[in-house]
Amino acid sequence: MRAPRSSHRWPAVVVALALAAGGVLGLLVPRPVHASAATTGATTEVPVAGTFSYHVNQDAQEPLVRGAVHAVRRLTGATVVYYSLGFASGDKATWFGIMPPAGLADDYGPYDVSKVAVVDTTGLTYYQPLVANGHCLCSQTVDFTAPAGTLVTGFAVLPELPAGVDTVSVDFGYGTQVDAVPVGAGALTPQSTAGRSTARLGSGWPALPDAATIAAVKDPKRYVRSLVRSIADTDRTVTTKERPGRVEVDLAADVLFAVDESLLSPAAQAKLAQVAADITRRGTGVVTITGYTDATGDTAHNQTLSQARARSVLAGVKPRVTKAGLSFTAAGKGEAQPVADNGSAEGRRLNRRVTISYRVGGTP
Amino acid sequence: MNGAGCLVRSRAVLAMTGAAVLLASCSGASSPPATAGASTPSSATAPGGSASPTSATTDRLTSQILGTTQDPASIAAVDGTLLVLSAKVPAVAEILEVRAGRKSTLLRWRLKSASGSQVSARGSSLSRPPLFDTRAVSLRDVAGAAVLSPFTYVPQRGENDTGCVCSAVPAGLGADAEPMYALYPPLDPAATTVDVVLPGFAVAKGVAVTRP
Repeated sequence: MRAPRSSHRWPAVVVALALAAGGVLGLLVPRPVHASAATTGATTEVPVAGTFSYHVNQDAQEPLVRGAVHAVRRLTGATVVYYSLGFASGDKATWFGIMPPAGLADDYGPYDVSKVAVVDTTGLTYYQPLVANGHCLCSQTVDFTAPAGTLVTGFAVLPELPAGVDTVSVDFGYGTQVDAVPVGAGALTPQSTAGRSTARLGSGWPALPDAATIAAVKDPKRYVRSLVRSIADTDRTVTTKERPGRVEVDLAADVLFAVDESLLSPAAQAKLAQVAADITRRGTGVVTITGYTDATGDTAHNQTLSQARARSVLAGVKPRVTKAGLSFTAAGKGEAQPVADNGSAEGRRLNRRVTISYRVGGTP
Repeated sequence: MNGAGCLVRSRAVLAMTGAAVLLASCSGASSPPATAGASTPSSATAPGGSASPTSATTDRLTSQILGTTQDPASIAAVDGTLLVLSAKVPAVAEILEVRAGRKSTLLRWRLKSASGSQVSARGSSLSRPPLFDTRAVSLRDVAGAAVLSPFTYVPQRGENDTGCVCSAVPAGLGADAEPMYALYPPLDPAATTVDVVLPGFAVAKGVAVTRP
């Protein structure tokens, strides 16, 4: 989309800028700077929450893109991320390839700078740019045109953050991260009058879609995605993955069973008791137990083995769950849905597992 | 954390009254500053409040962000191989920072070709097939008796967490290192070091954790 024009003007500014002692924004080091001037007058802030870099197309043969996340701000019914991108003087300004292509299964177009997401690790939520009337509420790659040595600012409008969220992380193209970005209120001003979805740093901030456009987003929740937290014990025999409302526990089959067996080992008992305790504490609905194998050996045998192992885990867990109202199912999926590369011993070990999944209530 | 509330601030003044420049460092980073050190104040205080100081300030900020500074020093480096189709590609992983925050832990590292020559790196050995991210890079928190994996997410029209809050595997590697990032759950508050585990690489043990 093209951002609407703004009547705001970048004011004449007299600046006293100081850079933090030693606070240089290094090539890869998100390093904040803070300067203030003991003057009077209206304040125009150029916040820098953190910096990042990556090569165009994430290919080391291409020029290095350098950028900054300036701010995350609350709007009425939405959130905006401001950032800037550029190339160092002397590098070739190769703007094509600054952003990975949109996925085939998402709503964004080929010119949308859509890989700008906000990550709320507390609420386990991932926010993506909104789309209204078929257009991403974000800057367009075609508007990123400037010679090396300059920074171009862009924006992305995302769904509204919950009231209590005070800091977030920003997930940028190719998986670049800036963490602990404070969440402020209101669009940055002044807005650029250039009539593009971007602006040169220092010429005002990109003009944002108006409130009516943001309100026209049909299903903002569509752009609110589940974040998954994955923590294992140190021997990686129990891996717990949690997303809002759901827990999935992977139990390493090598601890639960002897090779090619489906009889639970003594070591399995403590692991199953641990999972059963959590199900008792916060589980609801159906508890699903699924067995998996690695890709070694006969496929049909692996299918049978995975089913038998799932049933054994069911028999080990269900009696330990003291909460009423839960139901249990067990199934085997054999070699399907590997979680690691079957080409390595470590990958095969991770693929040999039994998964217990259940719904949970309350906040994650 | 990298600077909540830290700002490069310019003040519009209608009348110049001899602006005093205050230096204030709110850097939370522990590594030494890179070369374009700017502890010297830029007193862009042209009389009359003209627009030119704005440009000067913008130029200064731009030069910082685009910084022609030297790369930060790595705090650990491990050799290993990436599995690209059936080929093993020797590579070097350099750990730059493990920054523990209240809500998350940020790993910054970089990946380069061991030979210095241009090589393809697009394989799934740092992820799981058919994905090409780096979700298999984990942090072993001995103090917290836990192994942390990067946050992942469920993309649009998806049910499984095929998205990762971590860098994709680079398309190509060379002598120039590719910056890499990953966001993890918070470390145990007592953790001062972690092991960084990259499949196919030696374990980077006892990597120092920084805290804001």
